[in-house]
Amino acid sequence: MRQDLHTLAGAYALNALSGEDLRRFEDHLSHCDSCRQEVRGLTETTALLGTVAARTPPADLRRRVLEQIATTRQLAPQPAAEPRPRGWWRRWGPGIALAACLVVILALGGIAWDQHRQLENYRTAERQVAEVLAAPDATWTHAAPEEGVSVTMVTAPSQERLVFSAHGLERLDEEDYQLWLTEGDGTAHSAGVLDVAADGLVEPMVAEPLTNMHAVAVTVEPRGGSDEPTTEPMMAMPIEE
Amino acid sequence: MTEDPAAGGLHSLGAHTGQQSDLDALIRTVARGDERAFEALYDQVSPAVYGLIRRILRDPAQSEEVAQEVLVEIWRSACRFDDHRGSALSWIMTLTHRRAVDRVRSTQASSDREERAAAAQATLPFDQVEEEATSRLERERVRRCLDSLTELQRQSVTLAYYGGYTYREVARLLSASLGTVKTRMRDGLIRLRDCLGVER
Repeated sequence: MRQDLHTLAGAYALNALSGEDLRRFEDHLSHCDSCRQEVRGLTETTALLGTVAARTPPADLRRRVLEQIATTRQLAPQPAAEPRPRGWWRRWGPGIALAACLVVILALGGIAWDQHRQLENYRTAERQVAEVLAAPDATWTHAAPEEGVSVTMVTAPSQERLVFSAHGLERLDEEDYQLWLTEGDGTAHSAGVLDVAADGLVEPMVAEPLTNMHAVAVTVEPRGGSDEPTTEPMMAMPIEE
Repeated sequence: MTEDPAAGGLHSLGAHTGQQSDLDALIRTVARGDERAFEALYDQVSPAVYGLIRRILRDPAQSEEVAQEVLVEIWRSACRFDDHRGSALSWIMTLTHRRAVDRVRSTQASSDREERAAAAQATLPFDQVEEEATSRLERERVRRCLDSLTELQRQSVTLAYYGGYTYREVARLLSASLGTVKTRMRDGLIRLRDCLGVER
């Protein structure tokens, strides 16, 4: 089966895999150094196939592109320690790679002590939250996906749960923020919509179960939430094993 | 490469030339918000971006629209380029190819399939290319290497790459087994890679 999967490197470099084929190959790729090496060389090769199809674009295109970039904000750079690439991002379409530019991860400690305190306070109010926070293996992750927004996630594999909280989110008029747990193959499970208070504080939410879940993501969805994500995540964080 | 760099365009973006690392450096400057650098980048890569999209979509208006999306996306996500994963050229062409293929797979009716298949297999990309956009030498080199593939390898590679077909569709179009097609794609690309002297 390994060998069988490995021979898909050519099809992958040609962007000729979709759906389940793509998911399985990317999963394989994530722990196969020699495959990544091969895919890299083959992708350089297909790029040359692309360049020989070059033709002069319409003159008008240059002006329009330059006008558009003048009003298009660039994505922020990623932190140096990039999380291990996961298969799930591709399933949601090419745009998610760009959304991922916004994702700033693993700013451990220091950033969001106010949330830390808020979550601590919350212990008494919510039993499930308290259990996660009190678990011996509870791991705290803070991130600032955008300026003014901070996110805190506490994972407790022993409890099969995590707690998600955020501060600084803009309240939406027509839509809701929805929290998802995503599997390695991109399947997303809703953990409900975020309850954003007027001051931008999100009530801590419990999401479960964690088994097989690779990441937590937040998308903007029509009011009340969707059965599956319909937009690119505005933030995403890997769940550390 | 011995071409005249003053000719402009893409002519020496081959994977083993000095231009390659120039493009890498350029995109890092673009990532810092430098619009002038983006203009230079545009001039270097837009013929390849537009040409590949046009090759796959064929419709000029749609091609222009997708090319604009891709070029703006390059600006937006320049920070995403990571030279450990490959060259800037390969990053740009992969983004371009994915966008074009997403469009072709979502919009083109299956009745269009045979026509697309025929177009993808023709050796046209080389003849259609306008002279100033890519060098004759580079095209000759790629054509020569494509010619060195077996018929089935060449068909599998060009149907997927220029036709935007998945490997399952390619197997159906060629009445070949999935196993055969996936092997031919890989073997074909490996042979192309070695023939073109692509660095690994």
